[in-house]
Amino acid sequence: MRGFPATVIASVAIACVSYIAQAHHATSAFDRQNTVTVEGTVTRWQFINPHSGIWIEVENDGAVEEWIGEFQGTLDLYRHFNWNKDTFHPGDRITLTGYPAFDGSSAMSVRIVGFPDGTEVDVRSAPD
Amino acid sequence: MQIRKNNRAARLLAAVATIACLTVCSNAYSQYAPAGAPDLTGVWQRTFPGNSSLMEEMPMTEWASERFARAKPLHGPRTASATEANAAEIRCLPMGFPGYYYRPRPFEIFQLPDRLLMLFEVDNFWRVVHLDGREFPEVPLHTWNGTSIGHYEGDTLVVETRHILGWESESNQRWLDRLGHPFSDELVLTERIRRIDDETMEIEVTVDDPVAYSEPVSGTLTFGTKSYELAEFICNELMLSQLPEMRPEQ
Repeated sequence: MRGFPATVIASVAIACVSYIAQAHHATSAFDRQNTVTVEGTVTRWQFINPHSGIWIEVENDGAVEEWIGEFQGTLDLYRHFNWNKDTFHPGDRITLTGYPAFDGSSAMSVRIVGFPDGTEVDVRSAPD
Repeated sequence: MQIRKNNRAARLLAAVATIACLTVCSNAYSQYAPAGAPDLTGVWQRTFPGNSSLMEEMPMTEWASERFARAKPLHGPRTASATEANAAEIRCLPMGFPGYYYRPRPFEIFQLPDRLLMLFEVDNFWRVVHLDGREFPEVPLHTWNGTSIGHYEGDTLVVETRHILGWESESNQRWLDRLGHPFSDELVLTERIRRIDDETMEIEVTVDDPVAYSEPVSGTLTFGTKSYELAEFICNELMLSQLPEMRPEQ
């Protein structure tokens, strides 16, 4: 979909110092020197504090892999992007780009979400 | 025609009433505070870096150095994972002061005749600064955020806080900041709070804790106004989280 292969793309990114400064807890589990992008189908969206989460199923060479995306808490997402508990629904197709988990698990700290209509939201662009 | 005239008069009356109300409301604090006292009302959030400390080199005693070495903070150069960290904040426990100020979350100040209220969005926590001239209780009640008593000195509100529960245990540590600098039950915290301009508030913090620091530690924290209205932030939702990294008990 729109140039994103269904398989995982890992790419080196320059970790912005301001992102490190803004780091909230639990972010130490993620590798800010790299980014990963996956595309898949939403199975669950948990809009809670202190961190929100999304679960998507990603097809990878015929196999289905579950990826978990971690976000900041509800109020950053609501105030800056008008997101709420209904922003995502099971079955939605989205792409997630973010910092991969150090432990190699299929999890990331999400930085950019691509929606089906082509819009992208950089959730880390919210002011500290 | 008469109706239109009446409408115009009604609109004029409403406008005058609104202006009068706004004037009274915006100056409401001054009814309670002495002349020249600062208007601290508003929503504030830190503008200083969250991974900093009051001083670059904190004059830690041996007591504090031992505990600092065992601290596993969630921020700064010694950042630990959520599963390893022993910061009270990862368990949604109160951080005390000045620790709370290091969170990137807004808080709102209300000034009343006998109290100043700080409402913190994070953890839906409130703090009362007593302004009624009381003394600290003879028998102290140590609590997570202590007892705060304040008075005005010119353009500054001076707040003293005592009886904050200090460093608790290996797994539930509370610090002056988010980097792991401990404090003891003996901490006496003095905050000199003043408004620099329409958008800036400054708190000069002095930590007097001879158990943890060989001399008083001072630093200045700055805050900017925010247009947010405070909203609900229930940290304990952490217990509902399915995110693997947010479930330190596992």
